[in-house]
Amino acid sequence: MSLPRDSTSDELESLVARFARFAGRIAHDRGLHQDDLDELLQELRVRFWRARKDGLRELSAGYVRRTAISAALDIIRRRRAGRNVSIDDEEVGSPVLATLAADPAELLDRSELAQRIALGVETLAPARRAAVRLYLDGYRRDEIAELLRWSDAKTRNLLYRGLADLRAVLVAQGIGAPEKVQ
Amino acid sequence: MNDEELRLAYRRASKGAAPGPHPEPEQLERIVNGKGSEAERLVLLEHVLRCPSCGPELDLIRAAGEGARAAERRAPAARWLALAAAAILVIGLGTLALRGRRTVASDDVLRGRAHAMSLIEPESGARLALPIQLAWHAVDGAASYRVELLSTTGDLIGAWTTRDTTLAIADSARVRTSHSYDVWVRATLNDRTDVSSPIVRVTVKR
Repeated sequence: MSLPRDSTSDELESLVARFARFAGRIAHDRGLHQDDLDELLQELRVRFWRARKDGLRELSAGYVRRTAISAALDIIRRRRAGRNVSIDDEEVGSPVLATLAADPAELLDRSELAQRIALGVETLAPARRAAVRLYLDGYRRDEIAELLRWSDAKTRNLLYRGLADLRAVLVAQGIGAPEKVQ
Repeated sequence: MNDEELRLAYRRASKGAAPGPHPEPEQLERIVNGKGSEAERLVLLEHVLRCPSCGPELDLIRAAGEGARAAERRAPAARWLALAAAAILVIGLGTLALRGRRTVASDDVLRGRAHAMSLIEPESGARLALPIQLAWHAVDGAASYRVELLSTTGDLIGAWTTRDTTLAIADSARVRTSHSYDVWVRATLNDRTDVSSPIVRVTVKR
């Protein structure tokens, strides 16, 4: 969508650029596709522009948040509606590229180890399991606390205990060495 | 196995057999917005973290929420002018009003001042030697501060959380001389809301 250049569009473009920088950090950390972020930004451009056109002078932080979340939800709804065969499922579930060149026997070992860890996580108590799963999935501790609405101390406690439980399960299966107690 | 080895191995486990139905998009939003009970979030996350399609959807909503923080950073000078104008208006109205009557607007102004977040050093455009020394004004009700170092294209290079109001970034493995970086500080308040400083661009000199 091509928008006429004036001070309003410059201001909106500046807002979208800042939005992209902030959103880009999570997208980068979590490995989101650039296409997903681009689609979100394009939705926002259109919605911000319409809001201005409809006479909304000030795009408050609250408005921007509601609009951004709403745009993300609409993208998700559209994708779900058009998803007959889930291509994403195949892509995300496939092994990382680095493993493709590995020896088949090594690949099998790695895969088995991965499955044992996944099964080990299943044995954890629900709160510890959620903390450990998020952590192993690449979330930072502050992000885990934010998603679960836990204090930092609670998050740290459940995460460390959960990881210790997981290691104990793995050690019992002969994977890894027992932790040394000082 | 250390944490990193566990993470690498865990990520090789294929996803696909997530328990229960896919949560509705609104349920994903509730997780991001911290709504609902802990039990509800645990059940939803149990699915989301094992589901190859719901995980990225949750991240997209998180990215949207994080991006909206950009709106909090709009023209600080204009914001302070608006606050000052509001304060003058409140004082003027207060003078005219009966003694003893209180206005809600004055509380809003006080809240805005208390939650302002700004860096003392470095200044934007500064050329610095390692370590990069940061200092910022304490924020009322801050539980912790998160310092983020970004590339000039917005990629996260490093992040540090502290309860102090100073930090030295001395990580020479990640910070290279003759390069420019963006740095900012985000205060997480006790009510779990965030206040962000403006982003400051600095160059690391030899």
